[in-house]
Amino acid sequence: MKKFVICLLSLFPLLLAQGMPEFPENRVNDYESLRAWFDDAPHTLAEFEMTRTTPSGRKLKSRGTFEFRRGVGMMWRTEFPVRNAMVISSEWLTNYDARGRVIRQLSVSGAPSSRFTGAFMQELKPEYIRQMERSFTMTSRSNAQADTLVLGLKSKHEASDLRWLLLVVKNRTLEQVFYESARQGRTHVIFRNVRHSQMIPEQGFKLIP
Amino acid sequence: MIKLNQGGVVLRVVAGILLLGAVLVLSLRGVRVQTNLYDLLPSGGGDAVRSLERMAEAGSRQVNVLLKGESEEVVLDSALALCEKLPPALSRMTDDKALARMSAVLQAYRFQLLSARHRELLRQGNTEALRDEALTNLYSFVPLALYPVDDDPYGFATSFLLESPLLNKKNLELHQGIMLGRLDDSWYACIPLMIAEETAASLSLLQQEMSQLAELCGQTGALLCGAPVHTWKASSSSQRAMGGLSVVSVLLVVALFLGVFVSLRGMFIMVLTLAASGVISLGIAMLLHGNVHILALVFGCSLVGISSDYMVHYLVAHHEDTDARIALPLLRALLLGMLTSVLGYSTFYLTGVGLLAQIATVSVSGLLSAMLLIVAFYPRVYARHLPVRLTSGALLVGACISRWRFRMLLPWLLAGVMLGLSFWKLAVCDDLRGFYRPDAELMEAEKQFARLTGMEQGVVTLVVSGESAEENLQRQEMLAHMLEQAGVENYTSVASLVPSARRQRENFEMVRELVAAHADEVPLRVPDEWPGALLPDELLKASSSLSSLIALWNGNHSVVLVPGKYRARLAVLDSVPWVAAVDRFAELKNEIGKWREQLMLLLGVVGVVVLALLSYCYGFRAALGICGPVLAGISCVFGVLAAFGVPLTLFHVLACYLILGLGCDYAIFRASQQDSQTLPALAVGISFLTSWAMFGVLAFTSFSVTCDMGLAVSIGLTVAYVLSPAARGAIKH
Repeated sequence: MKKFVICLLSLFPLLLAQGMPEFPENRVNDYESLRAWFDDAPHTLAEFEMTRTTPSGRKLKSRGTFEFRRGVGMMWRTEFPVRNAMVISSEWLTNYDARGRVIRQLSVSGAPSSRFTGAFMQELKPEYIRQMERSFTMTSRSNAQADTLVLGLKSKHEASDLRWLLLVVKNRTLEQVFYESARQGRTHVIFRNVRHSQMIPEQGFKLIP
Repeated sequence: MIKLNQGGVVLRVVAGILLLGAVLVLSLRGVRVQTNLYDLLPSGGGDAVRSLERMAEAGSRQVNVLLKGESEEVVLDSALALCEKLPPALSRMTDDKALARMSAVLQAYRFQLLSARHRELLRQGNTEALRDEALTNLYSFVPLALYPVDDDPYGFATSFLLESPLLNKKNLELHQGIMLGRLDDSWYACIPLMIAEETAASLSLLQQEMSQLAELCGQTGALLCGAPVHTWKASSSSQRAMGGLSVVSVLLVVALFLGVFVSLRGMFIMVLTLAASGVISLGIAMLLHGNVHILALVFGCSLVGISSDYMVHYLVAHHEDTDARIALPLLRALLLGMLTSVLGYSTFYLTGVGLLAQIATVSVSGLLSAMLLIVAFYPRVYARHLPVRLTSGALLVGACISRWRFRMLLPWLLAGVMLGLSFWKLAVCDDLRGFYRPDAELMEAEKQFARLTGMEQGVVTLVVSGESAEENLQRQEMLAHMLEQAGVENYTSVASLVPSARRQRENFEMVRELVAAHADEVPLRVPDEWPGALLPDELLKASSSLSSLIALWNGNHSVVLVPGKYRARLAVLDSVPWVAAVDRFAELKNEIGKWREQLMLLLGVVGVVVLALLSYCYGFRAALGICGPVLAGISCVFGVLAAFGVPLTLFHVLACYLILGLGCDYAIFRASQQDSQTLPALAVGISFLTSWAMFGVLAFTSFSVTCDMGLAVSIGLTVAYVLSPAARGAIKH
């Protein structure tokens, strides 16, 4: 469960796209170049539209906003048709209901692997990607213009709830996410109106006479 | 008429049948050895004991592997790699398949198994909160759900597991069935394993499997802990010690036989006789008891060695005779000596203790069969001259004593002094933990495991009693409430995972009302009829992962385990009549203390009976003369222990029966010795030396049980032998 969260929510900045592309076949070898596909902005804000088809065929559509602050955490706020939020910080993974009440909270600070969640959010380090490789087979494909990357993760464990995950990244921004879960069904997320804000460098605060 | 001294055909046929029968029994049944300490407790023990038996049985088969590393990734990888190479008789308790089977069973009852939080919300009628929670789950980017969203939109089953105090241990997280935790800046992976029942029951198989596992773990620096590891290490250690000492014993006996008899033929015949009587005694024990506890095996088989005493007497007595028939006075003395030993061990049956009955069976049948083999075969086998190097050395022992006019008083005086010292200073030790000291590596592994599981200050065992299984579960729920009020956490009880039927029914009805209220927003199909309650035994059948938990379940009397650090807070339970704290080691200690006292009392009774028997055979004065050295030997055991501040244990007392049997033999033969005779003294001397070579060297073992026995035998036999000349001439021919 927690590895699923790590995998999904630690890959950030965002974009728009349509339709599910073909699953890539080429194994990922170079983690450093993979990092280069993702923006390292300290703060990212976006809107999302999510469609989930449960195993029984029921369709659930929702909309909301997504915010990520490097070194602090991330918030996934659903606005329609219900209001709720999921917040991940270095200490806790918390679900809130519409009234702001905590529904479930998993501690990341005493449990060993959840420490990884908090550390991962600081920086996308190669060793974290290697940890994901323990549970997933990572493949990728980029287009001829080298501005779009399709990254695929397939679970290595039959008993795993997350079967596969597909990310579409364009111009260093995550555009779409597709994933299939044995329990939840298939989910498609589209990101819109992505805004990255950059840190103001120290020199910017010096007065130029 | 059977002439015992002529080795008749009937006797040989009987001996042959016994031997073949024993071989057949052992071939068909094998030798099943119990190693669990709780097997020592009487089967008729109290409710607390019975409910602990199942727990002890499960615990006796659980092995924990601990891997240490600098990072979580490293230990998890090492643990998973190790799991791929486990020996065949070891299986993982918490692999993904076992957990999946458990989840599948719980899912079927998801409408009646509720977390404390959900139950409270339903009792309050706060259905809106539950609806909101369901919708949050449905529309969350990453729903925290362990079950399909269509089947469990409210997340009842997920919450039940994630929020269960049983499965939510602090400091530990489950990854692919491996427990990960952190201590002192190091990461630990803990793999709980279960040994197959057949393997655990066989000492040799257990040793084989554990050796393989240890070799595997040695490659990764992993540590092992758990009851089977203790059994393995203790038995291996004692076997190594015994192996070394056995060589010393054999060399001593060989040297003795060569020195006295010039030839080793007598020794080989003696070894064959001992082996045959050992097989017969083991076969009879397996037939009567079905299995043998390892302690009974150690004592019983070693006690069979008393029979070597009879063989030595025969060999010495017939060194010059061409007539191999056993002389009647010798036969009488041998039979009387055997009878005293058999009487002594037979009293063990009166205690009603399984272990002591097993010792009695092995010893009595061994002694009887050894005597049978001697009278059946020796007169035919030994129709030859055996040269004996007569040595007057044997006569020197006690030469002064034997010439003293009031010599028969000396052993009684010594006995009086030693008994007085014992009453004044002798302490006792019945705690089994004092008999066994694990090695440093094992202690370290146990300590780390205890720290990881929050049990570093031990565990308090609570037994909850009820008139029925349902009442028991209800009382466990009441107990859980009391424990939570007292601030006790991390306790383990079956009711945490399987609520009572009453609670399950209440939950089911509340869920039906909730679902009806919000059917449009959160569609969920709930059965129209109550499907029945989940029972603990049903869950056990589904998953071996829970075997250590369900071992706490014994129907009417079940066990709740509380971390030792909350011991003081359990005072709130003092007034609750249906819950009792049980100290397992104190239970064992009390039982062992009772056995020790019973055996000491019986030792006195046997002494009186032997005195009466000898009085009947030889007269009261002679009986006093014979019993004196024996009493002195036994008293000196108590006195020396008292003088050196060594506490008396059950195993010292058991050794006193050996001293009784052999001491009587020495004294009887010395008592029948006339002034012109030297052979009885020689026979007694050889008997003493062979007995000391076989038992006395045990005093040098590191295993407390055999060390105590060896020490007592060394002291008692030596005193009984040295003072045996005091009985010289007591029997008038």
